[in-house]
Amino acid sequence: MALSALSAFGGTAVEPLKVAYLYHFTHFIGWPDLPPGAPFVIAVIGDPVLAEALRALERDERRVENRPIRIRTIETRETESGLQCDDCQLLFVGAAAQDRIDRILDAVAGRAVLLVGDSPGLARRGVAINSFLKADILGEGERLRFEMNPAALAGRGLKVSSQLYEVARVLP
Amino acid sequence: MPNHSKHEIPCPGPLRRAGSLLPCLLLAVPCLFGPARAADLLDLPFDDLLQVEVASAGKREARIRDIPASVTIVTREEIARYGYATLEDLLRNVPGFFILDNTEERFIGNRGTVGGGVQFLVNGIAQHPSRQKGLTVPEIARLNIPVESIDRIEVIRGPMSVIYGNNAFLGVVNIVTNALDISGSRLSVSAGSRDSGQAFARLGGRSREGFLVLNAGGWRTDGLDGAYTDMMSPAQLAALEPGMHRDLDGDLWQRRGSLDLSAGWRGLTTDLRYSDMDYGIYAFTPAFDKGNGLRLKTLHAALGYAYRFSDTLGLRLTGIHSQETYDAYRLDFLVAWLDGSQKQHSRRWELELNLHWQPLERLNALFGYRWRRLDHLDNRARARPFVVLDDATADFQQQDLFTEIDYALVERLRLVGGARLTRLPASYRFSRYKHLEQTLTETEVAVSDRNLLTGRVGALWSLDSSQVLKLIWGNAAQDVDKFRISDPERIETLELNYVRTRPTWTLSASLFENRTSNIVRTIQTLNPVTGDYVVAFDNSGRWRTQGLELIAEARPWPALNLSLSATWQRTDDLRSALEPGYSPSLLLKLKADYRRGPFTYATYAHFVDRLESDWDFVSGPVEGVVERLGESVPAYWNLGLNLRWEPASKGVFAALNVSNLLDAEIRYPASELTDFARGLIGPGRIVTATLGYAF
Repeated sequence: MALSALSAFGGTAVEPLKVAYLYHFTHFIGWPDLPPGAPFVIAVIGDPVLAEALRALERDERRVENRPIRIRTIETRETESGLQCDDCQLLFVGAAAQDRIDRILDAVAGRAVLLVGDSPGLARRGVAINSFLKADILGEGERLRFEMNPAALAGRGLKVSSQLYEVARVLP
Repeated sequence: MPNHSKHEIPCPGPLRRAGSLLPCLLLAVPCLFGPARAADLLDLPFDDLLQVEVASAGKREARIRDIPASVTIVTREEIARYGYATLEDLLRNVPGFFILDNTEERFIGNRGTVGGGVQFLVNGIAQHPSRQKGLTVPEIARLNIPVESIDRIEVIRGPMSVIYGNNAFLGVVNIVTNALDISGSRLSVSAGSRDSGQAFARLGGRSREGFLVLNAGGWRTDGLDGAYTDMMSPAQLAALEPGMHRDLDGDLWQRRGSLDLSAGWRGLTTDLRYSDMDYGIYAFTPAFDKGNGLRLKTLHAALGYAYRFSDTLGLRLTGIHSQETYDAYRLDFLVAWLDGSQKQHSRRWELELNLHWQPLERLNALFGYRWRRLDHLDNRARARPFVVLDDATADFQQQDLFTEIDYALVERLRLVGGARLTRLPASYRFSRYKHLEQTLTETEVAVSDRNLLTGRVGALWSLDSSQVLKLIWGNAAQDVDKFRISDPERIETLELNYVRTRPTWTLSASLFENRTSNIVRTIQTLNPVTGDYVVAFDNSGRWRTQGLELIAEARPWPALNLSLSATWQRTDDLRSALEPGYSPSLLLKLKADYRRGPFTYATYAHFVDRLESDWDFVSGPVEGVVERLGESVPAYWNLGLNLRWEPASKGVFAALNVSNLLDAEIRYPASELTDFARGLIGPGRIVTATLGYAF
């Protein structure tokens, strides 16, 4: 392993980067039949730090499909009594909730909800987009990458741009 | 494409209000770039977002586990907590390291031996080759890096010639001085005992596409001041001439200055480093007048270009030029009327190409080529009427091909293997012109084996996510400066390293064995004309070092850090029963620090076991008479304290440091240059106060 200069670009904290990725994902995906006048809801379960970082989208008055973004935090324990995510368009499953993934999948089965995660193996367990850190080929740090599971998108009515598949690691 | 104007930010208020020219100049660089803001990420094109790098902070434990070697990482935070005044002080406190001083040079010891051996990199750029044919330039310039400029140091133990070529013999020290995510612009000044003091400034800024870091520092001290009555034997004292100094006070002053600039824009990077050292040295006898002066200037200029074809294929091209001048002036030893100088010079030109390829998720490969030319190697000594000569080594080139493959055989087992083939020149050619005799001698020494092969293999077995067991074998080569010996010294290491990293503690244990061969050593040869045995050199030395290293770190509470390391080692000369010199059996390092509010209280200590000096043959009519250059010097503890006040990560900070708090007597064993029978007395208690401002 060669030692390289630690990049003076210094890198970006991972949470703002994940926020930017999530925001960009919404531009490559189409949600059918969004209720008129309703906000675009991004829900987060199992990652309060990311939930807080996502509130920058609200403060910055960012919009998806010309709707204001709203961030909703879901407590992990809510999976015990039945997860309510009827108004969600995107649900982020954090590491602290990965053990509850089966209950989460049941709660949003067949609905137009994009499931996103960041824990190893989560895409194979049914999450549509799962991010991970990949070491730079020249050894100058790490970059955020993501894998996609087409089977996890099937049956949800979401329209996914082929551009997203081009930059993702697609599970067979 | 990204819009530069979006990343400009207003200058920070407190400095804008300062209103003087200096703050404006200081701010010019940061304001040109300014940090990339998180909100800007949202507006980046997705392709650009994919290229944004994640901050590497917090990866220390992962690096310690993943690098196939025994590794120590010293962070900026730790450097600040312990308040090391110089890079030398820092390295003295690195597990397994020790440093010897002969006033001209600092010999870095590690795993049983000293001298050469450790390859220094600054921001990934290999520093000027320390061993040059026919030259005696010390390696101390590589230590002339202001400790305040250091963001991070990675110490990698063991032979690393496969990646770094000749001279990465006992390990690699990579010093990072351009990590703006770790520390930004700041200023500091220090003053302390022995009229020591330093000033340091860093200016830096970055944007999403570029960065610029400028570090400038100066350091001075009056240096060591031991009395000769405490260092010399009665016979040595009796031989002193009237008029010679009676102590070192005033003879070993040091003035150091350095400037390093690191900049990048897209794939291009440049690193410039200039080091200027002016210092007094002791040479063979006490001085009569102002003492001997030595000026050492080093310049490094590197230009790099990195290109990523994809996430799995990348290329880096690096060109390096470096040069070093050694100017020993105002020679003042042996006799009062001596007037002379010695000047040495060398230059390096280097081009390296690295291709990184990851054809499979579990397979990483590095292929490299390096071309290196060394020229202007000359040594001019002027000391009438004794010697006036010009030595020169003819320019020569080396070419290297190397590769390293890293393959995850199964999820828990990684295999790493590499090899390097160095094509040495067919011969080395030297000339010596003696002005007094008006004689010219030209010598050509053929290289017996032009193809120098080095290799390294390792297996890393992850017992679980926090434990790894590393089994590593490797060898390396080290150039020899003696011009009559063409073959490099060789080392072969077998090491078993266990690492466990937990959120609150880390443990590393290594068992190692080094076998060193082709070691240059002094021998006796019979002069048939005089019938006396005279000292000469050969390279038949063979050593074996066996050792155990333990390093433990703990953070039982967030505010408390503890660390302990112990290195036991034994080195045997396999060609004789003579115990090699400068090889301590035991090294201990202890550190503890506690943060409460704006204050950090730190204490650190290192123990160096008894040290012997080297052996020397006694010239004369009797064969095989050897003696040490001096007596053994006793073991010592060096205890330090540091109090740091830092109310916020930005703004004013202050520190008070005391090294060698107990004023313990530290002695360095005799060397050829400092042949004090009882050893050279090292630094006593030093108190240093520092005031700084972080922007």
